[in-house]
Amino acid sequence: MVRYRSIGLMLSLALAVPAASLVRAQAPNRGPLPAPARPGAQGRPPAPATQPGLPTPTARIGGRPIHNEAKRAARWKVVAMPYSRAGLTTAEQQMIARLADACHQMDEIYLHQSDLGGWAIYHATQNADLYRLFSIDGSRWDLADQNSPIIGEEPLVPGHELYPFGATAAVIERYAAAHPEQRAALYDPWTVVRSAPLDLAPALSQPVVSVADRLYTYPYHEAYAEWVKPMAADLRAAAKLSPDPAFAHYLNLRADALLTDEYRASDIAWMDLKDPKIDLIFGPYETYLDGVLGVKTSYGGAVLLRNDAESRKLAIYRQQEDAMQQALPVPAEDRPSKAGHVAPMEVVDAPLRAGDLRYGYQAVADNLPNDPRIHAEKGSKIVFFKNFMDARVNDVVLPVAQKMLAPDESGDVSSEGYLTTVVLHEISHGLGPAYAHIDSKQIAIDEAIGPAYSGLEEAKADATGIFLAKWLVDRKLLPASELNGVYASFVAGTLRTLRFGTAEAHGRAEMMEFNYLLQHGALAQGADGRYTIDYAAMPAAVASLAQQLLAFEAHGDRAGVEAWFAKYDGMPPTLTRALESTRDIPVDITPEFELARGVRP
Amino acid sequence: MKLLLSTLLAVSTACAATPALAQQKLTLHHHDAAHEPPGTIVVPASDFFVDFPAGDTSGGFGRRGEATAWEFNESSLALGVAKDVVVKVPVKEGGAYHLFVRGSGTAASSFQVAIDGKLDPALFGQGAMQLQRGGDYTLKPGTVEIRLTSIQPRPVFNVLILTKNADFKEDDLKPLELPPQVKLLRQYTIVPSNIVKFGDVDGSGKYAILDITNNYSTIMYANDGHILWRWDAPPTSRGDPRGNEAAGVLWDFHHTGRDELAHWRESSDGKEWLVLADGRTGDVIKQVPWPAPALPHVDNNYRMAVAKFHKDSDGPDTLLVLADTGGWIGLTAYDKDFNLLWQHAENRAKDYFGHYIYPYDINGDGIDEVTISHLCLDADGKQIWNNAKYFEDNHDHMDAMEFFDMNGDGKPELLVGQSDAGTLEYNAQNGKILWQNNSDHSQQVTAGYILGGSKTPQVVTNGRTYANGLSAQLYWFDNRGRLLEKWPAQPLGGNPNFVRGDWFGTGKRTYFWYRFKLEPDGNATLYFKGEAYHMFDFEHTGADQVITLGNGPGGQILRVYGYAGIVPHPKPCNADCRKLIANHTHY
Repeated sequence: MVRYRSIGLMLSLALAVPAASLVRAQAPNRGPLPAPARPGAQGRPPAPATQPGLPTPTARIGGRPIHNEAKRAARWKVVAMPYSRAGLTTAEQQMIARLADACHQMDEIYLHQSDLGGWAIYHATQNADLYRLFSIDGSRWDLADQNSPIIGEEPLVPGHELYPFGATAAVIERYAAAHPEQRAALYDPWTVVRSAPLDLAPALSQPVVSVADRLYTYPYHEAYAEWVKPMAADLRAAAKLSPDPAFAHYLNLRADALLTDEYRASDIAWMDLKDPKIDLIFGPYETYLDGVLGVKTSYGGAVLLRNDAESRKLAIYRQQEDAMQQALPVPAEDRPSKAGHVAPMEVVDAPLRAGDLRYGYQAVADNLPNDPRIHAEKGSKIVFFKNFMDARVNDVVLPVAQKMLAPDESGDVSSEGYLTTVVLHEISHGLGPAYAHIDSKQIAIDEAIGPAYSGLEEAKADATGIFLAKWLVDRKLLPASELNGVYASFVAGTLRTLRFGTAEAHGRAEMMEFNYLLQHGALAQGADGRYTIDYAAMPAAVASLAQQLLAFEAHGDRAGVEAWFAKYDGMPPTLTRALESTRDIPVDITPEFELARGVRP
Repeated sequence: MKLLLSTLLAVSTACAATPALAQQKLTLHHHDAAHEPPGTIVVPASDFFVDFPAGDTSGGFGRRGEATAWEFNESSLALGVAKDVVVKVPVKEGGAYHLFVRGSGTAASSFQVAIDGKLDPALFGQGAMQLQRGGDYTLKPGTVEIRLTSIQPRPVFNVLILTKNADFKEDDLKPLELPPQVKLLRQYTIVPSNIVKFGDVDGSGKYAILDITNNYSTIMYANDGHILWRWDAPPTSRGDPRGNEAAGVLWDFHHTGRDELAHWRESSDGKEWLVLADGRTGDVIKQVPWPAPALPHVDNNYRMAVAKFHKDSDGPDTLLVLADTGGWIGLTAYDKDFNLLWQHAENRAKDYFGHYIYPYDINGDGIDEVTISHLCLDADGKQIWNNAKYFEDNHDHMDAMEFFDMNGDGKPELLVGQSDAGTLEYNAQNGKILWQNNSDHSQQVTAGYILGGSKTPQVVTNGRTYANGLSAQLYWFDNRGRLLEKWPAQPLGGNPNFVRGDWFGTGKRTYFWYRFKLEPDGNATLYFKGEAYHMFDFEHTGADQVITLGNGPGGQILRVYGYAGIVPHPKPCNADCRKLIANHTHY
């Protein structure tokens, strides 16, 4: 089973990551796994367990947890997510109500996939802080505190509820080797694995086998039938209310998919939607919960209302994609034409989310579907969540900027500038060389670069995106007055990411970018620890960085990339100290949906 | 108290998962922790326990290892931080009072006392424990504020006296300990125990005392305190103690009128045995292999209990043995002759099935079910429910259980102090979670109509903390799991237990925790010098006495306290009564 490419999760950090495996390694993101060993980091001290700017992880006294649930919950800013009915007909409101019903069912499935004990406590607890923490994390494990348990002492279970308790990849792989007829089902993205002990009646006078000697798989539509069936009914009911035939068609196909776990037809129907007024992400896509094999998907959903104003701006950028490609500072052979390759992008507001989009760190964009068959046939759709982006900027990025940037620069940080950086970052993932060329051979870039690829690709998308902002200004496609805001928002977003450290690929990439800009005079740290931005120096510094990173990809220069990162990815002690000032700023927002309260037309 | 009850009623109609509950402050009862002759006001350290600042610690005799032969109430307050501690106490009669303060410390430590805001110039809390004279004060009937202030690290406060007797001596204090309604009936010095059990081993009607020590040696004391017999466990190369919990139960398996002892023994060849011994002599009546894999074990935590598994029997007829070897945990049932009835075993990490066996007739059919942590079995060893799917980690086991009808439907619910999962109420019939709330490291739990006049029962959990040594405080919940109060404000040193029984001999339950009686008005009164361990009618008076364990010179001190005002009216202890006595155990 191929690990699907997914940038949805990384977008939760505002910028994109190309591979699910990387995404899941991102501690401050939604992935549950600890960061992998850092390639090329030999001989240097490991990243500190406590990252600057974050609250101190929960200490343990006397071998027991400290019960500081209120402090843990306070790390997340509760943000109201209103449901605006403006412009919605009565039928559309009725349809959305049914979609909301389906989302509520999906939350139950997700919690059963994530943490059954947590689900039980979530529905039973009388402790307000614990309830809030569950509503944030969707499990017993605190994302903002290295997945330490918020109740009890059970460490995070890598396979969550998707596998038998204690299952490891080695156990599954060994079993699959011995039972090849079950291999496909075991590795299927839409099955849960159970072991004999869980399914057998308890034996008398017989020790129960703790290591599974028999494994069973159950398709999602059977394992979660209690919720899948009413979800499908809700989607069909919503389809009948939809004034958009294409959207109704998608809903009906998606209802079929929920009952069969065959999602291809409905994914294609979703990709074929043309600027829908109302849209819906709904299904098991991402593999963040699967820390065993990395293949099992978790359910996630979102009701989407098109943001016309921002979508129109986005469309202007999209029309320029090939021109942008040709403007990149790389040789022509590394600028393959992008004409005719416009994948759909939407700027939306999401008045309701469910499942893995509802819990944990909050994505500001998503890129779906993940099925490589759909990628080959239709590409993928990028969705920008404007209301979540605004919330992140207002409640996290701006406060970080106010602590970390000089007043003039922090005043330039804006939601609009942040959105522009995110959009251009996403577009830039599709720009640049398509392949590396080594000794006249054409090979995949990730294969050529190796473990450092993920960080390189992120950095390339960052630098190229900011490079293109200036290009858009030069062509009067972006007001010149907004350029400083883009630069300042980019730097503020980088500082936000660096609060979580540099242990994983994305943090490492942004650290590299930050240090490069410092070295080239685009950034400077004042005596008070705050950073200033030299807007005049920024374009040249960004251009040279983008040029270098694009060249790494074009040449498949693995050694060059590793040396480059080794040179630039260390966190300066002065930055470490400066980040301490952001300690009290929320790690992220947590939404409180008006639509979750049973809103009816 | 009215406010508390009205709060209870007000919130009972709310059903939100996270109600914002106005909490009623429970306060310690003042002044009942000592006798008070006319013209004397005794302010023991426990009067300050309700709200001392973080950093101060409570303690008792031997806890700090001080070289003092006597400590008032065996209870002191170590003033670890500079913040004042304050209490208001009643003044029954006005007049001129002389201040005396008993405390200890170092040469550099001290505190002062302010009486109604007037600072006494004397420095207390220096050097060895001593009673010092302070100034004179005129008090009016009503209340007086006592403030310990100007604290220099770190003195110990034991007791303060305001008295009209200018010649008050330390010896005058000794008769004033503990409330007058508490009577010390017996006191035994025993070898420091791991568990203590009680039973009538000679048919005399008097309870003998079984002491199983940390190395699982077994000592039987007669009711008068002399040793009847002892069995010394062989030395072990694995080191002592052998495990955290020792196993033994006294029960009249063969209806002879004399309790036999079922317990663990190890022979010199290193084999473990389940032994039935004559309670009077320790002689082996029968032995069978201990129901666990051969030594060595990762761990060896063992428990025993008796259960009624046959409807027509007149009481418990089955021996249950829990053997937790760490990696293999088994619950094994035997008949009275130690014939194996059934065994449920799983490969689980140490402690997964908790520390206790709970035989209880959950469904009311006259036959016990047995619950060990997340697993409930019927009399045939068949599973009734299993919560493993919720709590796979051994640390999240159920530490202590209480069965009580919380919703008034006539069926018991299961209340659990469940380690760091907090306090949970389960449907005892199917194991479903009904509510949960946090209560720190939750190790002991009780439930009942503790607050006088309440129409719904309360749940009280002993939550352990570790920041300042092993300490604990109470979490009070209503019958729907909403927190009423955390009490006292700071944990008190120790690892307290609950006991409950018919203290007054009126047929009603009275609840005790640690060294305190939980009062019907939500207050608590310091009652004992040792920590409550068990409660039953040791003296056959028709009321239950509280048995405490505490440290002391020469060993562990086992005391039997009873209600001073009891008029003896002996009543028989039936099979259910004897089962409670036999099965009761604690850390």
